[in-house]
Amino acid sequence: MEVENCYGCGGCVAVCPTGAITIIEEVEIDAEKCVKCGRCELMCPAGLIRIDGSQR
Amino acid sequence: MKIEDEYDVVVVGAGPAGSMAARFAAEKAGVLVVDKHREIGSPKRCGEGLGIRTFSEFSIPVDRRFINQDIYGSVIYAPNGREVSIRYDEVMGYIIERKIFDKYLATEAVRAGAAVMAESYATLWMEDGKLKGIKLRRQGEELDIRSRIVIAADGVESQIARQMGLNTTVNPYDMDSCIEYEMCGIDYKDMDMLHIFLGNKIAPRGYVWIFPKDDDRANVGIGIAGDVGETAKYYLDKFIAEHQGLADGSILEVNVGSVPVGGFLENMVKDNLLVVGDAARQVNPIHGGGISEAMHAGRLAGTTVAKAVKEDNLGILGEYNEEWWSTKGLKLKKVLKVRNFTEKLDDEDLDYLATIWSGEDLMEITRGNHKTAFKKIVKHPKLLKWVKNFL
Repeated sequence: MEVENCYGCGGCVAVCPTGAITIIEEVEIDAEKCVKCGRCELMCPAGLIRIDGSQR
Repeated sequence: MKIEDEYDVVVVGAGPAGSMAARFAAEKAGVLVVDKHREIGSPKRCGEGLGIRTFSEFSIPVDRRFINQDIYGSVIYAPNGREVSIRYDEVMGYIIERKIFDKYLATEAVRAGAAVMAESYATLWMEDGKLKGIKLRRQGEELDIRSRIVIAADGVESQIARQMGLNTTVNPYDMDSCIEYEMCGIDYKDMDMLHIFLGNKIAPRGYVWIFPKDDDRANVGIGIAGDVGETAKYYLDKFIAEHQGLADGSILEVNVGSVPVGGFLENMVKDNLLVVGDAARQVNPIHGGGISEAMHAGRLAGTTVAKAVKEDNLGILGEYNEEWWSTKGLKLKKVLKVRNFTEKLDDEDLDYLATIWSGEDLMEITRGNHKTAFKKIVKHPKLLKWVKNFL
């Protein structure tokens, strides 16, 4: 799960219920923690996140 | 700069909350501030409006190095285009330059005795459930830094509070999803006023803003509810394309942000960890502004920490929480109640309110004083039913 050209606003991190996302220089999504709820996709102001098989 | 092995206090994040906390803690304690960004104050996630009151409350000089434009009031546009405006004779606020402003606040922290280090990513250092300090990663190096107290000022994406076991997760419904262009070559009226555009077709449960930085340059941005299907970018691009004077403007900068507008972190102290600013969701729920809130919280956390270190009694750290909820936090809770009302409004309701409310009413609402404005709603059965809960 790669997020290209992320602005680093942190919205996805705040809405993630399992703490699967971190942003240092780039977004990192921990596939083991991700529950594919799709909240991060919904939240991203630029629509950059796509989670394979998410509930959205 | 040499980073020591041990400090009384480590502050994670050098935004307005972190720098203020560091500045006041440094009066009695050894303080290190770390920030993951390469440049403090950048990238900004902000419309850059700051009221004059904040300048006086914190004795901030009117320094042209971080002030772009003097602002005299606001124009609010209802969905049908009706304008409600309020203009003062004197300057009521400024559009600042966050990149410079944040560095100014960090510099003030250093002048007070704190050390600041950019490009340094911190995680919480815990052992057997006890807070030991932070683990720092910078330029390929890993450092363990002991500290008695940690202040989490690491923004909306805060991990530090989460690592301490505090639940900081926000529902997308309670977040605003924002994007902003700094535009120039634009032609818009009253470039000494804030312009706020409301409407569920324009910005669902949020607003579009034009915050002027010069006569032909402005932050043009949008915040929409975080659970809307289309993106913030979609709505902002649409708005700009439909507005003469903006459509031909150039884009100097693109900024994106997410703002926790729908609720606060109730418990902001756990053991020797304090949470401040966006990390504690300390944002005005009506307009989404958070600089002033962050600075208040930072000062309060910093003074509490200074006192705890001076008296060698970390048991008093909870005073930060208690004091916040009996002062600024209490006000913000009132504003949140009004948000719970305004977010239900459809375009017709907004158009109606624009006929009965003055600019002064709207200003008071954002400050948590809604009674006068709400009493004016007398001829609208649906709204009357809703506001009954508030009077």
